[in-house]
Amino acid sequence: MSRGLAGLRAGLARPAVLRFTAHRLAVVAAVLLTIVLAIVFFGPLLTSLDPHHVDPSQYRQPPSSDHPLGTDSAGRDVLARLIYGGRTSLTIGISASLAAAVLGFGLGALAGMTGGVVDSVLSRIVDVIQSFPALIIIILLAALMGGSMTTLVVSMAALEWPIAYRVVRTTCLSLREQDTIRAARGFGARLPYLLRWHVLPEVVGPLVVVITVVAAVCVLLEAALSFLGLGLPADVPSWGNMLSDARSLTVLKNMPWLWIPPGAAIAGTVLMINFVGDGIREATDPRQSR
Amino acid sequence: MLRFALRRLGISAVVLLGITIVAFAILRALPGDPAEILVDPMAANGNREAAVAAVRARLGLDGSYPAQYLSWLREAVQGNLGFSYGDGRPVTEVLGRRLLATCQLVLTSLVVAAAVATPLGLWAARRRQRLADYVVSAGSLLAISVPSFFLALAAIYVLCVKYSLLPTGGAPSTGTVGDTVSHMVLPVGILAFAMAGPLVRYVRAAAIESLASDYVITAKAKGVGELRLIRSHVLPACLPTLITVVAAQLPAMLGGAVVIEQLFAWPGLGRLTVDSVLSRDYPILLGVVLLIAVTVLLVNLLADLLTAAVDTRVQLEGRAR
Amino acid sequence: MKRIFPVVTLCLVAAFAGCSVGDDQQSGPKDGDSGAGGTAHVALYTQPTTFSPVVTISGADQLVQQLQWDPLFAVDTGGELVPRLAGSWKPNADATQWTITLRDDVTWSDGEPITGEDVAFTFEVYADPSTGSLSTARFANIAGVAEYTAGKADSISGVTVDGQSVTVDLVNPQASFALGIAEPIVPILPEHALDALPRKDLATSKFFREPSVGSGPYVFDHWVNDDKVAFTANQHYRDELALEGVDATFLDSDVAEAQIQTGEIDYAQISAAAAEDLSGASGVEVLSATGGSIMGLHSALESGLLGDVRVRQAIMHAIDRQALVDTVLAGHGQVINTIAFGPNADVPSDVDTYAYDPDRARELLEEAGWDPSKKVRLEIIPGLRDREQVVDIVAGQLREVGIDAEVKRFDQAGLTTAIGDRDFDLTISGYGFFNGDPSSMAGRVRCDLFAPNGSNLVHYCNEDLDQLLEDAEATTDDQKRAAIYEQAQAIVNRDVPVILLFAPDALAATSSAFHGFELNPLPNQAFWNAAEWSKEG
Repeated sequence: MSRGLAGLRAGLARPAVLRFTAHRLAVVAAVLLTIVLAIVFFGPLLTSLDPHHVDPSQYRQPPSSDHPLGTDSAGRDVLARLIYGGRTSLTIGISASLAAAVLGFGLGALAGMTGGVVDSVLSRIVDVIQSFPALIIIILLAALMGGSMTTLVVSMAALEWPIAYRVVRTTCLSLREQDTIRAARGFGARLPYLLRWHVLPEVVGPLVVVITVVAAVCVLLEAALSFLGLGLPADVPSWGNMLSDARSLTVLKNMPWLWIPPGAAIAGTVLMINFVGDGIREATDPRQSR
Repeated sequence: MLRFALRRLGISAVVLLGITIVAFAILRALPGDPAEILVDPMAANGNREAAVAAVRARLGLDGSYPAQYLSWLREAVQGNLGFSYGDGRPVTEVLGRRLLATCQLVLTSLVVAAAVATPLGLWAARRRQRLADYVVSAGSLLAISVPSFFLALAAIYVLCVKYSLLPTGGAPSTGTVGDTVSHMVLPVGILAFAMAGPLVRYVRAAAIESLASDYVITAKAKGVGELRLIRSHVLPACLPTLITVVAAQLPAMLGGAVVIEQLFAWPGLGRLTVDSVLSRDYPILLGVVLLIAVTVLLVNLLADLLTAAVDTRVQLEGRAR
Repeated sequence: MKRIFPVVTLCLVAAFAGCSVGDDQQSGPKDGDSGAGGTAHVALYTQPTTFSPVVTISGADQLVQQLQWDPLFAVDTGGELVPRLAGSWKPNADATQWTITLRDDVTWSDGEPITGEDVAFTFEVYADPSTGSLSTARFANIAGVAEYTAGKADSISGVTVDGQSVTVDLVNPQASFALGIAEPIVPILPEHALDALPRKDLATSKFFREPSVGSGPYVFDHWVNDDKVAFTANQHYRDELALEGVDATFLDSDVAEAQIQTGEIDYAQISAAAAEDLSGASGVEVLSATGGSIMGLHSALESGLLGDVRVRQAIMHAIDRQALVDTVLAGHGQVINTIAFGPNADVPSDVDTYAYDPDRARELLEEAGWDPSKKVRLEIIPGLRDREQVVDIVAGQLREVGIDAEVKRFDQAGLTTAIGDRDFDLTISGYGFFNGDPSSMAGRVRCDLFAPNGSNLVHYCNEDLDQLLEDAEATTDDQKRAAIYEQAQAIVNRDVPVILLFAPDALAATSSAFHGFELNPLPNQAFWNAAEWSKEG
């Protein structure tokens, strides 16, 4: 822990990559996830699929050569909605988890490095936030601010930062007592400097794991909210909105193309995110992988 | 000690007061006036403004916000949390019924999940790096990743629609054992599946750690049977982890229960909250917040007191090492 | 570790509080000759909350109230009035005075007789806004109501009671008075049980959550849980009843559609898609009737966005309404071009049918100088799948002709606020009873009935139309009336106060063992003939 920064980077980073690649499932998941991200974010640029084009004459048609995954209740192409829906769902998941990580890092470092009243107040707030069921609070916030992508990202970030907070705070608490930090402080190093050069390298591994976990949770939360009809507007393509259609027994029974693709997309993507997170966890924190 | 307890109690009371003020403010900030909602503009036929004014006066919404809050607080300290805007029943009565329904669902699922996850986690730990371990680990990740409503839809399709084995929803109502069980199988099964995912992972990790401990290795060397070891040492060593994880999962489970309650028409707390948000039933929502806050604070207080009581012992043990 | 306790403690608290989920107590058969043949299980499409007809006039509350309370007369499946508590009702020659005579053999479930005094009491409660009444407009035409509500009189001077006979004097002639208090239903309330309560608390008193007195065929027994009410046969009902009781449960439409297949319930309102699905199922009867409600898009006309009639006409042409009926409703409905419709609504034969024609829509928009960059919101309260599908399709088709439409989800609160602020573009809503007498359109178009104090949600106003509607109410001559209404219908057809989409058929499914159920075209009148229900086995 008390090695020089350069040594720390070289010493930790390379074996971490090696350990990650040794985790075969994680590698497969990472490749698949990359493919999904590429399709979802670049696919629309390459094709002319339009997720908004309605056509009542194509009402709930089964898969055909024109519509490889069939059409939905407004005669829209399911494949197009699946791709654009992935864009919505993953954008929410990624931005919310990044925002939560940044917030958790900032506040966690503040609490861990300062201690005292700041620490106990923040930690009490975290206790309270984690005691309340996230979905219910997000429903309230969505009602307060209106269901939009920004609203969802903000409220998810506001509720999911405690995980990152705990990781960072714990690390800071132990770092604070170390000689290097004490010495740096003695030389007049300021908090931002300490965070950048001492805290960040220590927590970057666990933080990436937290980001994957939170991203997975947020994708699921968006899906659940939209499924309940409390999330994004109905005509915005999102995986949750698509599944919301399947609450009808008729669809469930006779039109599998309307509910299996979005359901499988959510489950598959979240599974891959979790596998990758697991791989990173084992790679960066060998203690856990025993 | 008594002084410490009193001081903590005082702080808790202040925090509680703060939470109710914040909750009250948030609720009043929600767009939409409950009196306007109760007099549906799509259906009203007549002097709607007068009707809205009458409703507002009846619900005590015509005073200033601080006055409304104070009158709520005055009643609340006497145990009266007000009356639901929707059906006029006392909030305490509504909450009691719904809470019990949710507990019935969540606690049963929890027991089922723990009963399934513990042996699976132990098994995976013993067969570490072998097929069983990979299957169990991948399965637990799957349980974490599949959205519960998707699973529920699939289950309804297979078990209720295709083979008509189970009722599709609703709370048990006739009171017979068969009725109760058949109504609970699906929602409990799906909740338990989602809960078991993380449990398996943590049990496995704890068991691996325990199996690698000096004590177990020595005992093994002495020829103590593995099953006995697991029962007398590994399992007890996993218990704290199990309890911590279950604790961490519970809030999320209540959230997950919202979706399941909605899908299976289960009259629980989650559905009540969603409905009350939509209809701006402030007394119910304040009641829900208060209920959760009181319990959280009470429990934190107890935990702190316990920690304080055993503090000396902890310090002594720490020094002995 | 800390976080396990909240929930466990909560549960213990609840357990000690002695609450229970679903009382086990079942209402056993009671003495008397009525009700020996089992319990009917019926599905409600919203959660029942109150038996107070004063403050709810929609949703499942109306259904449970139909079991509990009898009105003066009910609307039968053909849209005609049939007797309930009233034996006869008729206007004088110029429709300024109505005489309603109650039957002699009607009693409350506690044995007290139902008399004209109960009717007068009921009218007072409904006419008085301080009770929170949603129906004041329907009673405002009775002479003396203004004085009564202003506190200048102890009773309504225009209502005279003589035993079982009630005479009602009106301010303006109103040939449709009886119809106006038949739909939505105006149940008669028991004066002897309610008179002691202060009027302002009456609507939400405990009595209306757990009524101890009723007049309908099946009366409240207990709440099984928040979603389910148990009813038992009214021992003092005038006719013999076949059932022992009725259980009414709120079920999500999908759950209801599944339970009708599994035989767990005997009746459920169903969606068009499910009707297709269930029509072959064994043990299930699918019932369908031409519906009386309309589905339309509503705009705050004075906001200017859709104030130009050509824009509204363009929207009518831009939407393939027949395709909506064929797909979303699976053919179970009809396209309409006037608010009041059907064979008795005096619709002239040459109305504009606004055929699907995107080019014509673009022309009209151009004429009106439509700005294609203007955003138009399609507002919807999510939850009703048919409506969500309609809105998705409509949004797409409006974009095709150059109207930048986007779907906006509102909860009830948000929508109510938007309506109060007069800030809504195209709000989808369905309601009403418009396939009978054409007088039904009046509430939606008259200048003096602007929302919020009337049901003219869009603030449409045309004085010529108002004059025609007034003239029609003043005549009881059918031919003259029809001629006037034809002119009125032509105006509504041309002006498009509401973007009319279609009139959905009423659809329901019953179990084969359930008899006597007659499907009413009005969803909130579904239990209109509950006294005739019976069940095999």
